[in-house]
Amino acid sequence: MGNAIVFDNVRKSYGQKAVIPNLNLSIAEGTITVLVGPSGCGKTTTMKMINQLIQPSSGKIYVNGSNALDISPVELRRNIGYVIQQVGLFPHMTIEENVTLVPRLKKQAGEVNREQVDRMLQLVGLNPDEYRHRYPRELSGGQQQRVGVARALMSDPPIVLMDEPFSALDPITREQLQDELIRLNQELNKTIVFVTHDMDEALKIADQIIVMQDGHVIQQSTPEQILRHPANEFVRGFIGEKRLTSHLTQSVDEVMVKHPVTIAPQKGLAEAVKMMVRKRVTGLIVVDKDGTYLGLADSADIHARYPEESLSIRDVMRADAAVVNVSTPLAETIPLVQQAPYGYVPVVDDLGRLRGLLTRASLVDVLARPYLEGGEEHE
Amino acid sequence: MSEILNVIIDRWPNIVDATWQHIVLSIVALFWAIVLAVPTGILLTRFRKLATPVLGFISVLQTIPSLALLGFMIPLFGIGATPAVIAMVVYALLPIARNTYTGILDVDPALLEAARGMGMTKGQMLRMVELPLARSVIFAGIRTATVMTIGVATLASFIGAGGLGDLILRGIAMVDTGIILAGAVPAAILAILFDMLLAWTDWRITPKGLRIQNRT
Amino acid sequence: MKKGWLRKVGMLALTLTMTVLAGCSVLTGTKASDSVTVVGKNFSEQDIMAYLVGTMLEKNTDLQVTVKPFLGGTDVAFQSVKSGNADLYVEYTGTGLVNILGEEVQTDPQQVYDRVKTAFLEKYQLEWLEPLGFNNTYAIAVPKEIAEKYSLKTISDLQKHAGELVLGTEQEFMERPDGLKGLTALYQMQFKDVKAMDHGLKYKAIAEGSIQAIDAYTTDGQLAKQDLVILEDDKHFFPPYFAAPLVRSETLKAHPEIKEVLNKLAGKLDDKKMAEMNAQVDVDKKQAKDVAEAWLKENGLIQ
Repeated sequence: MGNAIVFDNVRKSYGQKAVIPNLNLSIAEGTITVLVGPSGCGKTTTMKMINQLIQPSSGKIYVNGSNALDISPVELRRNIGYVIQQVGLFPHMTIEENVTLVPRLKKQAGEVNREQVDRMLQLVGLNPDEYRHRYPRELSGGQQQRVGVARALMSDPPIVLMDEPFSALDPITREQLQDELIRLNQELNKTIVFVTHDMDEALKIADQIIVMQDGHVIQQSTPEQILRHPANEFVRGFIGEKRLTSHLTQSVDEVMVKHPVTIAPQKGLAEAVKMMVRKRVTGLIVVDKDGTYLGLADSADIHARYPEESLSIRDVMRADAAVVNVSTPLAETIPLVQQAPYGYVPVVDDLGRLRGLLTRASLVDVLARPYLEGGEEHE
Repeated sequence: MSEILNVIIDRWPNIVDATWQHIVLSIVALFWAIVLAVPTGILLTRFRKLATPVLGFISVLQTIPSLALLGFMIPLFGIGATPAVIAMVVYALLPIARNTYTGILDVDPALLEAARGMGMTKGQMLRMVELPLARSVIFAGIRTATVMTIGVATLASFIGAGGLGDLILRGIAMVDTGIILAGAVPAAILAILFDMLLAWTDWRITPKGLRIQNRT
Repeated sequence: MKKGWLRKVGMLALTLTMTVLAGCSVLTGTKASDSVTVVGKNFSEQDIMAYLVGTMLEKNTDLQVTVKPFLGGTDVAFQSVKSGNADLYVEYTGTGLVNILGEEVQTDPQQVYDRVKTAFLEKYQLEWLEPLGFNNTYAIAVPKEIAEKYSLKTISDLQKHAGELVLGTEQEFMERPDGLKGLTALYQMQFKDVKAMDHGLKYKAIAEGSIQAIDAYTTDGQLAKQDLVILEDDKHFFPPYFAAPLVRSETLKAHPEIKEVLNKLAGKLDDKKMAEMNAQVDVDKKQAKDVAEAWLKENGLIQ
């Protein structure tokens, strides 16, 4: 596997100020390489020098083996896919016209291949028959960026540049598109250069991560190696405050579920079932009208005695389940949560009032951390 | 009222001629105003430092009183339709040039970045992105200029080029409301008709994708 | 033209305002028996006339004289004097005959003067004093070279050559009964082309040679400034517009000295001199009042 892109002693300066003092970099063919770093670190500048949206002040950039500076920028760009954060679909053109723009610019012989358009739209998860003749403004942000990706891939460029393509999307859509990008590239094997400031995103999609700071490459490695062996404090810091914050310093208060679903002891079982269905939970916390914790009512117990119509929650709840005080160190609660019969432990204050709920899910981050940290310590 | 009706009947061929002259003068002036102002507006977006002085100069031209402007042109172009049309063009330049300039500058920079990143040449960007997206703004400038030009065309009657201004000025001189209206009413109708025609054209040629409001 | 319009509307508004203001102050002003009010219409020549007559009275009588120039059109000036809000203004005999009395055009100056003098006294109790001398009527003017080239002295001389000349006229001349249509009919001539245009631009265009003949007022300031020759109206087509003070009979009865003083002006001011004075105001931008006073001094009419 060769290098699709090579930076050889590249410098970019504006007047006296060098944004990129001296950059040497190789990006392997067929990989997703993510440039990550805080804003102003030079990652976008680096990416834009690949398709010459920004001209380097000195040095050489090889794209697919030839010096990019010898190729006309227009020619170069037509053979490199480009996706930007603001999507940049042309509102006066249909989806099909947007997608076929680069082939049309290249004046490829004959009509643009309709099948190819369909294939591209399907590839990014849009039904061609539904979307082909619609206009960008009729689409949601996520759908628009899918079209943006299809447009970049349409002329089958070996290299695709993506400048924070998913940053403006809502978290759920962003996750979906990240997943699809990974799937897509397993199929297409493009060299994708992806810029983001979000380390989570980088860790998720990258084959290679390049961490940049102040115009320098700090570390270039696989996500695994970056996590296990951050090159320095900066990288470690950038991997994520919440990952590296010691679990010992976190309190129960910070990780617990704040508003668990509660029920009053005098309520009937039918009411309890209805509430569990509505709130989509498997158990209820029983509290009196002052908010004092009384016990746990799990769906199994309720269902077992459901036929007895005269019973109230008070009769079926477990008053003996383990509870933790809100001031308990987090580490001490871990075994309790792991051993809890229903997988959750109520949190109470000194007066016995319910404050929240510790669940296994809420402890996942804390539980995973020691392994990652251990890896580094043993280096 | 019947007096006005008599004026219309008496002068019908006169009114038709004047209206026709008025239309021809206006269309010729608008044609040249568009031919000059649109490229000027486009060039100014390429040389933005020139925008303020050039647009400023065009604004100053607009403040020249028409008689002074026509007087200035007599030595160069004589009398008749030529100086009248030139004066009308001068007055119509500003809205078109200014709207072309701002219309193109108002195009979303993200679209230009996308266009450049996709490998569009400058000419392609102008033709495929900037002009289509600035079109409605440019068109609004042309509409303003059109309505203005139909009013301004009455200056033709100061310099022997005819038009509806003849009737208006004669009416004023003779203190004859009927004659004034015989000139002013067709001018007003022309302005309204042209504006409606342009509004309709604008709507017709607006790409469907731009008529849709943003989803978000 | 937009600006032209604005200016026109502005002028109209200004004129209206001034008319109303003038009217008001005249109406409300207590009219002492030893004071007279002189008004003028809204163009330069009338400004000069108002000050000329006003100054003449002020310097040669004991009357308290108020001058209100630029009052409005013929209607406004005439109505203000007729109703007694003002005492006198300078009117043109042709205007009196056609516009005010609404009678047919006549061409003999003396007949016109006699007619208006009798009719005004009867109908409006207004008296025409002796004419000042100049006749502000229409004329056809051509550049000196053209006049020499075709040996033009009279409008009749034009008949043979009109087909080679472009006439520039004002819109009004195209419309008036004593304008272009009547003229070309009487003199049996056809111009090569007729261009209707603005009064000021007409003088510019003839100077540049775009047109070779124009309609002019015989006292136009530009006639004095440019080398233009007025062709004699040998068939007396244009009606006489001799200027003369028009005074309320009542005022004359109370102050007979007005008639005596103003008649000293009779015949003193010819077309050429009037055109020069108009040029001083229109072209040299002098004050009408100064121009009027200078002339009065020059002719020994005031000290």
